[in-house]
Amino acid sequence: MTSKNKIKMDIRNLNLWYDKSQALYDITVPVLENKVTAIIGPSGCGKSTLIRCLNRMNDIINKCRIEGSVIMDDVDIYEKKTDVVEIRKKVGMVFQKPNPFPKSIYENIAYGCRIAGIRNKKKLDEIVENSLKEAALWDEVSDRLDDSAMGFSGGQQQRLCIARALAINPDVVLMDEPCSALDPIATAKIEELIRELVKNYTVVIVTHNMQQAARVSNYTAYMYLGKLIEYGGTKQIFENPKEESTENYITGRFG
Amino acid sequence: MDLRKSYSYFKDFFKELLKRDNWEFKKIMCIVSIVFSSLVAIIGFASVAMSVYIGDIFLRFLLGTIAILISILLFYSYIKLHKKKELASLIVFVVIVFLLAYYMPLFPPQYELKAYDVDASILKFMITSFILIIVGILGASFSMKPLYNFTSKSSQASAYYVLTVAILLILYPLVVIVSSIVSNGIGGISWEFLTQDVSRHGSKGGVFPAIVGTLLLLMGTVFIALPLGIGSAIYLQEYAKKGKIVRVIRIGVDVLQGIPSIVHGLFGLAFFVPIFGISLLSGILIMSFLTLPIIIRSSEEALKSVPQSLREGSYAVGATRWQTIQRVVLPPALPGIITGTVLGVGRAAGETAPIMFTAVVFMGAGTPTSIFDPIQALPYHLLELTRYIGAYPVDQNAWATALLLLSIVLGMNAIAIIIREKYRVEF
Ligand SMILES: Nc1ncnc2c1ncn2[C@@H]1O[C@H](COP(=O)(O)OP(=O)(O)OP(=O)(O)O)[C@@H](O)[C@H]1O
Ligand SMILES: [Mg+2]
Repeated sequence: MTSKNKIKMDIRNLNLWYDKSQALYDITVPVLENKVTAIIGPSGCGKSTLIRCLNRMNDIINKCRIEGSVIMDDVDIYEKKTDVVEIRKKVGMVFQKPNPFPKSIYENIAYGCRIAGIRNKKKLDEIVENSLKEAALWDEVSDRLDDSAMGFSGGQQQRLCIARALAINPDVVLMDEPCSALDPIATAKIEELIRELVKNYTVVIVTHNMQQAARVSNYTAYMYLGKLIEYGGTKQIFENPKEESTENYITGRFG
Repeated sequence: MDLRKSYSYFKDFFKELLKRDNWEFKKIMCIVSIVFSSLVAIIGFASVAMSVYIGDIFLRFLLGTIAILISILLFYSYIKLHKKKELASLIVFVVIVFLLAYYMPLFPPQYELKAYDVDASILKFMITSFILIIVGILGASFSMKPLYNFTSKSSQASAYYVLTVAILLILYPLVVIVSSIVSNGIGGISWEFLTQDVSRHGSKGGVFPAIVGTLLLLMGTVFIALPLGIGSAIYLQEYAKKGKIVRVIRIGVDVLQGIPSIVHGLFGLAFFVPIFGISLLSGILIMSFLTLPIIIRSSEEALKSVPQSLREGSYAVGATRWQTIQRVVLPPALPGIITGTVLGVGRAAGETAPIMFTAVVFMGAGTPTSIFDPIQALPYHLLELTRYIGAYPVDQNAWATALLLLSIVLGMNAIAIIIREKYRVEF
């Protein structure tokens, strides 16, 4: 790591329990600004759980208890006095399955802004257009902004969800297996998009696809059974892993 | 002609017929068997529907013959034409049919054509008819198997047949009730009937105040029960942690739904009438209690059907819980909620027991001027009219009232269905 890499979010000694069973064990890992950090690991190892800790999405789960801290811009997002709504405005999220609201394309994207209190129609139009352009969807939907989002393809819906996340102008974008419901062409589009996004945003992506992690990410964290096994530059993790477990996973010997 | 020669001729003929792949023959066998079985079922059903005992000697012979015919047909189509694994089910069936054939003539023909009287003969008569229905349906459905060569299509076909018959059986009473109410009531519906007050114990005049009363009652009920119901459903589904208290509340709602409507009525008499008198308000409050569980339940279902991922999507862009409920959860749930409300109120529209002690009078209420006035209502009006049948010429008006009430209730159900279909949101 070179010194110009600023840490955007710093996960420190994070432990998480669902009711009585522990899902994360003492995770300490940085998320670097304007980089793509990939989280990989076998199914059930806690990737989704970890990424959801970054925007406190686990708050809405019953009986989920968290210890440790996540520092963003010198503030612990888990401190009592931090407003979770403010955190989520700074840390956007894209989910595994596209989950557009059953509203028009326009309303889907304007939603976050309306929530934040932006009423100015002109401003909203501008944000909608920019976000759709950023998500590489504008050309496909510019003349159908008032159509229901439910009528679009899975790949388009997923890019719509990305646009929705970008519309509130977050610092960090979390993506939990954003391509798992998509075909290779839509996947390629989203990967291309991620490479674009990282110029302006910090991206954290969970993926099951090794090639995808290798293609899009700058840093990779490998998890196994709720523990962080290895973290480092993507090149190093894929070509020269320090841990045997990592190597086994990457070469496909298990998981 | 030589007897032997003709015998061997017939033998060859039948051998030819029963060849494994003699499709035409098999088809005819099966269709004949299906038709016969259906006939048995229809006779059984008709005897129930028209309360005619089929113990008549002729009928019994007919049925016995049919039963034996079916067994023979099935026997051939199964054993000669098809796989052995069906043998077991066949044997069971044949045994049943033969039993039936022998069982039928055992009944002494002492129950004649008479309407339902409460005595033991009814039971026997019903048993006979139901056995006929069941055997007929089973026979027909079994006979379909060889027709489709025992492929998976054959079970599909027989299941389809049984289900169709079941639906028809269910539809039958509906058709009878609705058609008799319509045909008897339509003559009594007139402008005068719809716009005038009751006179001469309901034998003259109309039901205008009752229509107004019922509508006011329903409107008031929606006004109170809808916000309360939606509120409770939102609390239960979106806010309350899934703990003991929620469970207790849910059980409470279910119990409330199970309370007989007359108990609601007595409750109202004890608690509301002393305060508000026999009045529209008391009726509205009681009806709200009655419909509230239905509204809560259906609203909960509607909220539940909104996928969790939508809520997460909303939280993820910084929405609060209330904003999420208001803007993401409620809109797609609304058609479901309204459907439930209309159904609940539709039920209330037809209830008499809850209002008979608390809100209604038979005559003289007119159109109420305040919520503390008593009202007239259609179901109660109908109840009173049926009491006067025989004493006064009220029959025509009673049928017409029944028709009106039925139209209101069915109309509300139709509205509910239309809302549900038209505004349904697919996720
Ligand atoms: N809401 C929940 N309640 C209880 N346990 C949970 C919950 N969500 C996840 N878990 C458990 O926590 C562990 C980690 O789950 P998580 O979803 O984070 O895995 P994952 O790495 O994302 O797996 P996948 O690759 O299959 O998505 C699993 O054992 C899972 O059963
Ligand atoms: Mg996951």
